[in-house]
Amino acid sequence: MLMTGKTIIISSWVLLAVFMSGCSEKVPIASSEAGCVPSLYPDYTEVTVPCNVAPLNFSVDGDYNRIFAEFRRNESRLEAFGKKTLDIPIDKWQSFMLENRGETVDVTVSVRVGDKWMRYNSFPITVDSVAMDSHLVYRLIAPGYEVYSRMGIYQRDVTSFRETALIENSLTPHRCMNCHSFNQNNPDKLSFHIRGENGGTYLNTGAESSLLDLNTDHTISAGVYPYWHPSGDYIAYSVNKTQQGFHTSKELCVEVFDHASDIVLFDVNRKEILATPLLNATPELETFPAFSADGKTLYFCSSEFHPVPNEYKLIRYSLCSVEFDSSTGSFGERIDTILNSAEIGKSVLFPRPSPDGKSIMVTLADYGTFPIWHGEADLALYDLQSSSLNLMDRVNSADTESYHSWSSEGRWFVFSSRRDDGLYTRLYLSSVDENGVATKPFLLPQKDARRFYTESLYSYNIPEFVKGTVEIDERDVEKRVVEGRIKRVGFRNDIR
Amino acid sequence: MNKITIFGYLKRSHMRILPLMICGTIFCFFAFMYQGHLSYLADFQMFLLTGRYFVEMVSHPGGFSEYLGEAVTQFYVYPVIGAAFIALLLYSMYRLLIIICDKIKPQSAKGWMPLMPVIVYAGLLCDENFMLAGLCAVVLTLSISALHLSFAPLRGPMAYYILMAAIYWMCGLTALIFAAIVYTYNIIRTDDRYRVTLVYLAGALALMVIMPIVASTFLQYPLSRLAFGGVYYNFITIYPTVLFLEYALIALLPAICILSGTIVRRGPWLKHISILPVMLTAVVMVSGYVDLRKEEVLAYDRCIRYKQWDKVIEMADRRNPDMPSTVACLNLALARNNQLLEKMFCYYQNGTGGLMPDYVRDFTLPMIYNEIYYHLGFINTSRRFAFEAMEAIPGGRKSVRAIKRLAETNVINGKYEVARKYLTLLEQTLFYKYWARRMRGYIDNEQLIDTHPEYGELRKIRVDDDFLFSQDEKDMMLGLVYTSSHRSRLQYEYLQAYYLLSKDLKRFLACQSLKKEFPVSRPSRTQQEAICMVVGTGREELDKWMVAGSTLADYNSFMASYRNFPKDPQMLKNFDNTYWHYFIRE
Repeated sequence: MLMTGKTIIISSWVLLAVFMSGCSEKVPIASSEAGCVPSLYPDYTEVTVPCNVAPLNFSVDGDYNRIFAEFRRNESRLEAFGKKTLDIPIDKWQSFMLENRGETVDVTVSVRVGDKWMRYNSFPITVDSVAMDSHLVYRLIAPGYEVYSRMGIYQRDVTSFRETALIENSLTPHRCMNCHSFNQNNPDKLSFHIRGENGGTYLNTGAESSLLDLNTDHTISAGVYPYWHPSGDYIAYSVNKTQQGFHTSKELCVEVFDHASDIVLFDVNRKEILATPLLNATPELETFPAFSADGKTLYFCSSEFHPVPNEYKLIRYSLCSVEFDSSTGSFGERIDTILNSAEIGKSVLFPRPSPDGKSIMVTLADYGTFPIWHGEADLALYDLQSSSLNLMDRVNSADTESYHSWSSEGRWFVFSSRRDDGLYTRLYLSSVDENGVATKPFLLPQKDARRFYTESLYSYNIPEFVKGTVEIDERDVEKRVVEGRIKRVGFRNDIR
Repeated sequence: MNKITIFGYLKRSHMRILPLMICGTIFCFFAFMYQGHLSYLADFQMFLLTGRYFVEMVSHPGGFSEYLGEAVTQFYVYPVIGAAFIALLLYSMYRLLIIICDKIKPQSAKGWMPLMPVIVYAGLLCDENFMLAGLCAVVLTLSISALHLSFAPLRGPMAYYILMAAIYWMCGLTALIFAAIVYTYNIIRTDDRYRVTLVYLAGALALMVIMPIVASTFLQYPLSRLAFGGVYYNFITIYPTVLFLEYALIALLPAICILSGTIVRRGPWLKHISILPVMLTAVVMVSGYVDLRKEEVLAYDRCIRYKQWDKVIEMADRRNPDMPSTVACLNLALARNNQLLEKMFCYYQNGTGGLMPDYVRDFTLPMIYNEIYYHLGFINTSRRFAFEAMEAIPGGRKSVRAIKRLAETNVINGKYEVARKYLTLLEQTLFYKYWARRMRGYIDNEQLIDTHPEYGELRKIRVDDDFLFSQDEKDMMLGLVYTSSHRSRLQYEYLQAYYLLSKDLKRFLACQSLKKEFPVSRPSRTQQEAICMVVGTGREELDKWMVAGSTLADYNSFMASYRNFPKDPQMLKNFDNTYWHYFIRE
């Protein structure tokens, strides 16, 4: 039977009423108090966040059918609802955060169980007035062993939830891509490797882009771990001959060790690999190069050689440094040991000098070179002024903390951690104040973090802060790889 | 009278009955002779019943047909249902072709030709690398084509272009089948052939060039992949010519039928000749694509996956396995039945590789081999093999079987958080959700796991000592694992079998005196045969090792024959079920 005009009008009013009620959901009146602070996922209670962070959508442990949160400081308020996860409107969030930068806001969460609302005790969130860099670049890859399937390098706008692919291996099938690196958080100057047939190192200096074969007859491998010199004229690379082993006990999984490793310098302008006897062809294992913020010092990790796999547990890296003169591209004559692994009983890895030049953040593991598979791996901050090493207890967990990267303003940093499930690496953000004290870390926000992190079968790898959007002409990269347009680089070992 | 009626009915209706018979035969073949293949295909995908998965799948060209293909393939876990779906899809393809031919020119689809694409696709599906998505794409395209031809208002150029774009996005390259059908329809029914060619053919080709280029601006796939659309072949960088030929055949079938109808009118007997290419195609497809050797491997795999140990041994009794993977499956089944040392040399053995195979960079074999390490208590190795197999699947698909194994191994290892993650994913599938829900009960429940007949036992025998897995020192690892618990008969039998297969009789004998926490009576026949070879024929010594008199007599007989006729095949044949035969074989 056809609908009559009357029926249509009534139905329209009902639909409009439903729609209007959905648009202006009223602040719930709690019929009970939980008497405690809610247990959130992700845990955003009492965190300090940068003023430009994406909305901190969260869910509460337990069963409920609706969630409500009120963010408040004096008269400034933000209210948000959600079904299982809070869904904070992004525009309102951004203006609320700007309004309250440098202040502490109270968050009150209520959940509806059945048709009754229950309110939790409020907790504070501090909005730091210092903004972090707007983007993070990371690789997403399954935490596997030797085989990789779908992977890619992605950029995430940390002020929103927008993630875009910079390059995915669906474009260049069967190839691996890794070790993206930026000069001083500059999105226009980057390099990354593409492994496999016709692979090489993609280099974008801002002025030109090229695909380079950094493997020479005089080095043990192509470039592996990169670090740009602040001038943009050089990139220090480790070259590594690496092997994997697989543990049998339930606590451990993978071990990665180097049979040999050196450090070389790549001259960006001349497209030449420069090798110094100080860091090359030595019996020691040198890896993880990193330039100081002023570019006058090259930090790196060095270990005494031990045959692997038999003695892999004896390999421990010390933090070392050597002077560097960028005007001549030459090194000093002496290597200084800054942190001696024998003295601290740890392997010092991934040195990352702070942008203000006052400290170096490192990863400490019991042994070895690949801390992501070491549950005991923690972050530590080495103060260059007081020459003291301090474990970053506030950010460390019972599980792995590994790769870390500074935001360009030198306050915020990102690090990878396996604290959530022991396998899939997630990104956490934290800040360090003038005294080197870190704030409580928080998980990189997602639109629906619980669902997203539970269902994702990818690990976050090599997170790097950048100051803006990265542009890569992925079709140009594809063309170079497919056509084998790869340029061999020169080699010089006459530098000091 | 009755006979005449049936004969008459058959004569009149044979073109209705024959396709049903062919599809029935295809059903029977897949349901009863190709179960391993179907089960394997169901294992190597993870179809999630969520809106997000649907959106993820349909967000690239050909994604909708891939989604449909996966939706149907998940039913392959029950091969009879899977085979029914295959037969149904093939029959649908046939009927749609008939409908389309009739729409273009009534009565043009007489004869055998419309059966040809059905037979070709049935043959292609016998190769596990041809995905069901390709057939779904064809059926979907033909359905849209038939509807398009049925409804006059839809026949305008604008509707045509919109449908063409929609089919490209849903199915990929098969949009060209739609274009060819509509072009044939219009060319038959119009006098303005120039306009029809420009609008319907040139326009379609231009669209098929433009659309992949547009897609390439926001999707990171090679242009060739975007032009092809869906993943119809497992290896995404390979575009098999036979698939193009099949699609061309389907696209041109209405034209072929019309043309053959014209020829047949000149001599009705010619109608029967059209059976020849169809039969020839059937022969070519069966001989080219049916791989019963591979089916044997996959059937063994299916059995060990579902712990059907007796069935594995029955299969081996019917046909002695001779491939490393099938031998490895058989040895596991024998060991699970406590018969490894008793019966292993009754079958072909290919050395230690058929006992504890090495890892290979592949997606099929590591999945099979993970089962062996799992039952042996090498939980990390099982997990690694399953993970690596899943990561090696072309196109980045995940595997429901691998995820299940990852959940199990993490529960056994007490890694509950990551196990919970895998169970959450399995709860979103059709056939594993109840298992996953049950499994949730084991999370954080040590007592429940310890009392589980499988997980509890594996916890007792698993490798707890830490060392790096070495492919070249499996006997050392087995020895270490076994001596740490002395509980597992399986590990003990594998250790003994390893020494026997590597012909390391000194270590085999030393291994006899290992402590055992399970009942052991007299050494097995195989062990006795090996003991004879080490300790000689001294009765006192053999009594110490509990070697039976009959074994000694056989050994003496073997040695006498071997000394006299060392290269006599008949002599070897008489002892081909003995360890001695394996030992002297090069």
